[in-house]
Formats: sequence, structure tokens, C-alpha cells
Amino acid sequence: MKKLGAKKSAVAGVLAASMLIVSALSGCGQTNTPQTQQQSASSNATPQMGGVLRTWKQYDPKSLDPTDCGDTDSYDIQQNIYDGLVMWDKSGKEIVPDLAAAMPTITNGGKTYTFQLRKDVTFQNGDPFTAADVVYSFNREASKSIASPGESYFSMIKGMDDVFTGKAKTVSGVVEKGKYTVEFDLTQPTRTFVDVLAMPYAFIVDKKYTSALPNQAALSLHPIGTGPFTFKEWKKGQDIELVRNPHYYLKDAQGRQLPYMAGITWTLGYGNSVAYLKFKDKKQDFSLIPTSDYVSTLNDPNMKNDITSLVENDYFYIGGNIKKAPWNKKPVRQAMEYAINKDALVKLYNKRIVAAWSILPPNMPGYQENPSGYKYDPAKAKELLKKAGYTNGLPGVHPMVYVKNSIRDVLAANIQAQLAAVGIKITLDGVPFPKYLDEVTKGKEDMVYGGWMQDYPDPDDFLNILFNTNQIPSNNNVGYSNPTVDKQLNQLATVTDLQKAIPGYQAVEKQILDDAAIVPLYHDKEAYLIQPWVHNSQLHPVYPYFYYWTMWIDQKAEQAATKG
Amino acid sequence: MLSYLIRRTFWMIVTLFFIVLIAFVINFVVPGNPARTIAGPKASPEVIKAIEEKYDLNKPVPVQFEHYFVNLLHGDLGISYRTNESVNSELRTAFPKTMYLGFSVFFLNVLIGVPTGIYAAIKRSKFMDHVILISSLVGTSAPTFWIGYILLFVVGYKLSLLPIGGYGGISHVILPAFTVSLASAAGYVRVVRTSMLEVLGTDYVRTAEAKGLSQSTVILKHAFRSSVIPLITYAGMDLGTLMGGLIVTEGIFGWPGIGQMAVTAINYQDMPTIMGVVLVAAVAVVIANFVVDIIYALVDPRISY
Amino acid sequence: MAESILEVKDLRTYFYTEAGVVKAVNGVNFRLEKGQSLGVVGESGSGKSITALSIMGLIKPPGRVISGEIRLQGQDLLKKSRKELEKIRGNDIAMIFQDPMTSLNPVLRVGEQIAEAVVLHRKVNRKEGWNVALEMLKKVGIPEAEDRIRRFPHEMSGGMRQRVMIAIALSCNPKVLIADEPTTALDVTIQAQILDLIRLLQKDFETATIMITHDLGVVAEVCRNVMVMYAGQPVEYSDVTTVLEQPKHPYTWGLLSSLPKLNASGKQRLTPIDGMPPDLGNLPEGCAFAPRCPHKKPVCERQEPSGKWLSPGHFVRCHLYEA
Repeated sequence: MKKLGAKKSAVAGVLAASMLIVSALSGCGQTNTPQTQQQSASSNATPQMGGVLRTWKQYDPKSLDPTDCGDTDSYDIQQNIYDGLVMWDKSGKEIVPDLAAAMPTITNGGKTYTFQLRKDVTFQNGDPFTAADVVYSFNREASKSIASPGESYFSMIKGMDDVFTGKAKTVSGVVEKGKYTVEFDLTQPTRTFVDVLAMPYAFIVDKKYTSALPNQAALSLHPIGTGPFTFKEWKKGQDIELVRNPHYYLKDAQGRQLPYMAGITWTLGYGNSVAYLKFKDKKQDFSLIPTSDYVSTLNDPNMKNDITSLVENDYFYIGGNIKKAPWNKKPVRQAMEYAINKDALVKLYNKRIVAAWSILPPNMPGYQENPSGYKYDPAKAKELLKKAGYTNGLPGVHPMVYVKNSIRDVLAANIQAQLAAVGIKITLDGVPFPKYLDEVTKGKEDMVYGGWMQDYPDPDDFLNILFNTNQIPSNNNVGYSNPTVDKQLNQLATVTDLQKAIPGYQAVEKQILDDAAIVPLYHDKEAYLIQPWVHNSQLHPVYPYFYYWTMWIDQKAEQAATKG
Repeated sequence: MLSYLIRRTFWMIVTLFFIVLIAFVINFVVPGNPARTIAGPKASPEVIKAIEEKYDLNKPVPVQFEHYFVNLLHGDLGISYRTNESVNSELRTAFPKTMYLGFSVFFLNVLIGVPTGIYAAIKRSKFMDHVILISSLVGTSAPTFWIGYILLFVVGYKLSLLPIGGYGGISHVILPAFTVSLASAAGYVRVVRTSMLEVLGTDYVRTAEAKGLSQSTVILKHAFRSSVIPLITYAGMDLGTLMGGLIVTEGIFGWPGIGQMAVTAINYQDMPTIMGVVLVAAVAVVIANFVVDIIYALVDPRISY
Repeated sequence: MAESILEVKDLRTYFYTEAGVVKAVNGVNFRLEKGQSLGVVGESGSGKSITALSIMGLIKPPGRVISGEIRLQGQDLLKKSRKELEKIRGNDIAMIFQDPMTSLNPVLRVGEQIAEAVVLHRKVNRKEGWNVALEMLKKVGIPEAEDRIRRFPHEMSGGMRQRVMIAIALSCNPKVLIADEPTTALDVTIQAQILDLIRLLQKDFETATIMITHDLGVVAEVCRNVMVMYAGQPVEYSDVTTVLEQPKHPYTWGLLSSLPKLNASGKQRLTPIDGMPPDLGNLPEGCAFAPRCPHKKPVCERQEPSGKWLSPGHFVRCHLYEA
């Protein structure tokens, strides 16, 4: 999970936080369908081989080394070069085997996971893939000298933290049980372990190749994995080129070798206004829509069919620091729940967000639309303030810290006006991401306007991380503490079957909102442009953008369009 | 001359030392813990600690400075927090590209600014002089990102004459160079116009005219040559600045120079990279100033060191 | 009558400033014969230098020659194009300026500054141009000319620089040389040397000379005829003996009485006349000198004197001699 400093939207800055993935295990019986839309009516046509996807990123990825895969851009590229033991399926709802031949056997009360590995996989340099590579990769992730920012995701693996802190040489909980068998021993049953294994930090690298590198940082510039595309070149600030890995193990339903495309090229370095021009000029297959062009693009008959959109598994909120007065008074917090007209925010941002009355986003298992039944009612808000003893509005002026960008400035100003209307005076404290992190992860703030993005689609990733007392102040920035909630969260995390845990999470979510810990504001609705000749280009609910290895390009259509 | 060079070099080194020191200190005054930024919010205290150790961040600031400085004396600018790569090698990739764009801008500035400034001086107070002064004011005031985008839209997209952004040969460098030059050539126009007007009123220009020299000879050989000192000063500062990276322009056009490096580094509190860029920019300015002083002596026989 | 080289008729040069029209030269007439030398005398602002610059065609906006004729060997320079004038300037007419310290280009070697005019007008190559320059430097009495020719102006003294200026002016053997206060900025001893040089070269080259000065001593030494100017007009004109010994105009009297001793190499400035020169942008009615004139009559303040030839060759513009 990451705190939303900025994200891959038109207003995105650099995502510095960690990244993630996720799991909506299939068969969970959850009822919401992911709200994905896809423009291409011809997706049912037979996929063609060949063609290069010409896509784009504003900034260079941080790294092509899995141990340093903490940002969306790195993940987007690395997912094509490397594989993990497990991966997300195309719908983003189910975790399926990747380098593993099957899903793991779980024994020992949920503490031992045993994987049988595929025997037909080679790395892109020809080295065969075996259990030794898996063990090596996890030891590498645990290495103190590498200091991977993602190491603590794997703390449930026995011995992982001991290696990281220098207490042990090798990770005792990852064991080679045969050339193609690996066993993981956990310190406690953890349902989300499989989700974590699908994260990029758990991508498998080639032991023989990687251990022979002159220094470990070199992997980022010369990555080798088992994934569908092979790294060719990274010209910093210019482009990154991947080409089809002809030995990729995965085949489509017709038995054809994946991936379909001959390669992917990301051009780098320029912003979305220019990317948008290049898209319109058909020099680029993918683009964001600049804020200033959003409405006109939606209404442009030539472009509206190029749009692909998805409600993200994230949420934005405001909240007062409950450790401080006056936010320690529940009626004051509840007054805030009634004070904000979220539809006004949605309208301000051209409907690029959807209003949120709950913490969990619509594509998340366990989603409830409005568990506590709040609504926009400024009169009620004033009444609650009176009840708390503030007849003339809240005393003082409260600075609200948030990660500055042009859109959030506008939304924050609107929030400021709405709160002022019920008698809550705030000032806006938009700051750069590092400063924001410094304030909120130490619980120094008075009020916060923050965000959270999934690492994987499991309610634990939102509710436990953001509201458990043991997460104060680093992630539980508002300092919410409810012993009943803590107890439930701790227990729910060990339930192996997510489906069985969902009612419990729904009760917890309702309790948190009844306590008015925070005010949910909205979820992002991403919208991108993709050229009509690129097929199977639905946005993926877990991977940063696409499920690249099943995308294909209608090269005749492309040639016809680009020549005209 | 030799003693001048020695003195001058000494002060250049002192200047650079203080730039390094100040830039280093500023990095620590900026709020936020780089290790926290690298690790992200979810990372455990152990992860933060490991990262602090990896990058020396757990040591007191003076110790960090000492390490940095000792490495610097060996020509080592350290490892980027963001990419884990050597800042030296990243600068080696990015700086030539900044130089490429910077010199293109510089070339255009001189090509546009100098003749225009001379022309404005000759047409002093006449219609064309006013036109030039007003358009140079507009050029200076218009935001770079706006000019850049308009050029991209019209020349790149609508007319399809030049590539829409990206790094490459002459065709790629034209638009970004023009974008900067439209604003910065205006400075040359003003400097050249002012110093030309001063020189055009001097006795020796009248002497040259009295010899029957043609207007162009009087202006280029007599007036321009002796009015060139302020131009050299200005051009030197301009070139130094250009070598420091064109942050906005590089961003718009996707030009992979040190300006872009600086932006990502600042977003990420990537101190070694920030320091590297600052240092390269500072060295560029200091060297440009030095070269300017040498050129003074070459163009004006009255100056010697 | 000898051959007329330069003839100026009713020359008027006005400056159109924001404050109004400044009539810097307001009806100047004179003739200059071959080899002859004319002194033009007057206080600062009397129009001497503007007259010279008008003849050179070097009047810059906001100034303009508004009427008159400047005939060089019969051809009216005011009707020439810029290109034609460039061929005449420095070739047929040359000029020496007042301040040698600022009149040479500081960034060019002196040889180049002489040679370029030679190359231009005599159509010779650069090397020959430099040869002529060297010859000229020797002629104007610069020692070690082979070395000096490669020097920059700041490496030479004021007197040397003025010699260089003279070398430039005479390098193309002009028919007319205008010297605008060539010695004013120099030390007394140097002044005499420079004057001697001009006189000598004038003879050598048979150049007609206009010597602009406010020093009657200089005029006495160098010139045959004198024109006294006041407020943009000649007020008295005659041969040098007549003007010095039988001056007619009250202004000339004033000038002469300010000289401590005639014939000495006087350096005294011509200032001790009471009052200030008139504002050329706002001339008084009648005679421009009337406000300062000890002999003024009522008519002087009403009507401008038209001027009168008292004898052939002696012109004076004063109401004392009209009626």
C-alpha cells in the first residue's frame, strides 16, 4: 500500500511510495464487478502476432531491479521482464500460478506453503529456471546491503527480518526442497502471503547471472528475467525498449505462443500535453488526457472511443488528528462527515473521480456503498458542532496538510469553503511529498488530506494498515484507536479464506466510519487514451496499466491510420 | 598573466567549495527524511534504518559532509538514492545533452539577438526600434512552457514540420532551442542595442565615418567590435546558465539533460544527484566567467592581466 | 580670382529637438580656394563644428541640413547620395577632430586605422595600404614608425595620437582638410608642434584647410582668412591681418581684447566677453549679439542686421555699418 503522494493520473507527480499488487481470490463470491470499460469492439477478433506498442512515460522508472520496484513506472516495465511464483489473472480478480506449476499446498495450520515449479522455463539469457533461483531471489530481497524498501512486506517469512538486520546469513523460511520444489515457512498464518508473492519485490531473478554481476545495482541497467519481454535498451530520459521473448512459457487458449506483440517501447521525458499531441498525431499508442483537454476529448467523436477507464482501488480522505483537540470529540468528527458535498468535488474535477462514502473502493472485495449512512447535510453538521459545545463554530484555524498539486489545490480550496460554511476554519498547507510524509508519518499534523492506494485488493490492506492502533502514527496518521476494532483486525488477518473474513471487515469498516475516524472523499477514475488498433487493452485493476502479454496490434489498421 | 591565472584558479576553487558546502547544508534544512522517502510509508523502522545505513544517512551531518567531500576530491559524486547508480555516470549521460541544447540555444541567441540589437541601435527611436523592443519584451515575458507548447502544437502537430518532442538530431533540437531563445535572445538585443548606442555616439565612430567607410564597415568593424565587451559578459553568464540545465524546456520537450535529472532528483530528495547537478552547473558558470575574462583581454587590447 | 575648391552658400542646419528647433547653423556663406586656409573662430556653440560636420555630411538626427549649397569643385554635396558621399569623405574632404584621446578606435591598431581609408579610396590591397600608413606616420613625424604602426591608441600619447589623426586625414591627399580645434586638448608645447605640422603639410599637399578654433593666436599662425561666427552666423569675414588689426564687429573686438598678447602662442580661451551666448533654440529678435553688445542701438534689438561688404574681402554683419 502506498500513500498517495501522486499517482499515475494526469495530475501525477512522481510516485515515491511503495507499490503493489493484489489479490482478489477467485471464487470469493464477491458481487461487485470491476468497473472496467474498454473501447474496442473488435477485441473478439483473432489476435495477430507482431507490431510494437509505442507507449510513454513522463519520467524514467526508478529501477529495473525487483528489489527496488517501489513505483508505478518501475512496476509497469518490470512486470514484462520478470515473473513471480504467482500472478494476477487478466480480470485482476484471481491469483493464478506463474512460475509455479500450481497454487501452493498450504499445511501446518496455514504456516507452510509448498510450491511445485514449472520445469519448462528458461531465463531470457538461456539459463534454466530452478528452485535455487527462487531461494536466491528471496535472500537477495532480504539482503541488508541492498536494503530493499519492500523487505517488510515479507516479514511473515521466517528469518527474513533476521537476514535484513544482520542476525542471520540466509533466510531460514525459504527452502529448496528439490530442483523444482520450494517451501516457505511463515511465522504465523497470513492470508495475504499469496498477494505479497505476486508483488514485484517477489519477482524471480537469475541466480547465476545476477550473482556474477560486478555490483548489484547493475541489474537495473541489464535486467534478465523469465517474463514475456526481453530487455533491449534503456536510454535514460529517452526511451526503454523491450522485445518479445520467444521462449516465454505462456500460451493462449488456442495454443499460440504469448506474447503477441513484437515489442514495447516507452518513450520518456515529456509531459502529458506533449504525449497527448503525439497521440493525436498517431505517433504514440497511449497517452494520458491533459486536464485542460479532458472535456473536449470526451466530446470529440474521433477520440471518445479511444478512451479506456477504470475506477482505481484507492481512496482519498480528510481527517483531524484524533490525538489532538478538538478532533478528539466524536461529534466534531461526525460534523465533518455531514459538511462535505462530495458531488461538488466530482464536478470540479470533471468527473475524473467518484464520490466515496466508504473506505473500501468499489473494486475491492467487501465494498459497501455507505455503511454508516452519512449524507451531505450542513445543518446537521452545525447541530453536531453545537452538541460538542461549539455554538459559534469550531475555535481556531486548522492547517490541513496535503501533497501539493494543481488539482488538489483546487479541491482543497473547495473543501476549505465547505467547512467554513459550517463553522470550521482551516488553512491549506500544500507541501511536497517528502515533507508531507515527514509530517504525517510522525503524527505531527493537525488535519490531513491524504490518499491510499492498494498494494493488493484485500480489505486488510486498507483497514488494518490505516486504522489499527499499532500503525499509529506511521500509517494510521489520524491516530484512530479502538481496541475492539484492533482485536477484530488482528484476528481477520489470519483467516485464510478471504470470503470468510469479509463480513468481519464490513463490520469493522462500519465501526470506523461510525466513529468518524476520517471523512472519505473520493476514488480516482483513471482514463487513458489507447489507439483503436491496439486490442485487449483493458486497464488492469492490479497491474499499473495493462496486461501486456495478451495485447495485440492490428498492424494493417495501424498502417492505414498512420499513413492517412 | 600567470599570477593572475593562479589567483583566479584559487578563487574558483574557493567558490566551488562554498557552493558545495551551502548546497549540502540546504539539503539538510529541507524537511523530510530521504530514507523515509525512499522506503515509502509502509516500510518498517528496520527498513528505514537499513536504508539510512546504506546511504550514510545515520551519521552526523559534518561526518556526511566529510565523506562527501573526500569522495568529491577523488572525483566521485556518489550513488543516486533514486536509481542506485553512480551520479558520475548519470551526469556523463545527461550533461552532453544539456550542452547540446545549451549551445544550440546560445547559437540562436547570438544569431538572432546580435543582429537585431545592432539593427535596433541603428534605427534608434524609429518604428522598427520600437517594434523590436516591444517584441523582445513580449518574448521575455511569455512563459517558456506556453511558447514551447504553442511551437509544438503549430510546428510539430499542425504543420508536421518537426518532431513533437524527444531527443535527437538537428530536427529535434530546433523547437526546444527556439523556445528558450525567443525569450533569452531578447536579453542580447537589449545589451547589444545599449552598448551599440553608446559606441555609435563616440568620437571614433565619427572618425570612421569621416574616412568615408560604408555604414556596414563602420558598424561591424568599428562600432560592434568595440561594443562587444558587455555582450561577452552577458553571453558568458547566459552560457553558464544554459549549461546548468534548462529545467522547464527540458521537461516540456523530453530532453534528457541535467535539468530533467534535477527535477526527478528534487522530487525524490535524491541528494547526491541534486548535489551533482548543482556542482556541474556551478562549475559551468565559474568556467564561463573565467573564459569571459580571458576573452576580454583578447578582444580589448586595453585589458591585460 | 583663384580656383574655388569649396563654396558654401546660405547653409542652414537645424536640430529638431523636443524643446524646439535649434538653429545651430543659420545662413553661413564662404569660399575656399585651392591651398587656401580659412580660420573659423567663435565661442562654443557658435556653430563652427556643426558647419564642419554639415560639410562632411555627418549631421545625425535630430539634426538636418535644411537649405543651402555645399559645392566641392562645383558639385553640390547636398544633392549627393550616401554612396557618393562615402567616396568623397576621407578622400576629397578629410577632417581632424578635437580630442585625439577619443577619436581613435581603441580596439584597432593605428596602422589599420590609417590603412583602411587608403585601401578604400585608393583601391589598393591591404599590404600597400599598410605601406602608405607607414609612410604617413613618418611624414607626421612619429618616431619608430615601424613599431608604432602596430600599436594600439592607448599605447600612445595625446600628441602622437593627434599625429595619427592627421596621418589618417591626409592619407588620401584630400583637397579640403577640416581641422576642428586640433590642438585644444593638447599641452602647450605639443600644440605648437601640431600646428607647425599642419602648416607644413598644408603646403606640401596643397590642401585647402578650414581651421576651426576659438583661439585667435592659432588663426594668426596658420590662416590666411578668418570667419568669425556668432549664433550660427558669420559676423565678420576678412583676411587675417584685417581682422586682427582693424576688426569692425563688436564681437570681434571682444574676442581680441580677451587675448593677452597677440602673436604669442596664446592659449587663452575666448571667454571674457560679458554675458552668455544666446539660446539657439530661442534667438532674440534683432541682432543675436545685441544683448551682450556694449554698442547696441535701439534698432539692434528690433531688426536683424543683413551684413555688408565694407571693402572687397571684408564682410561684417552689424547695424553700426548699416544705414
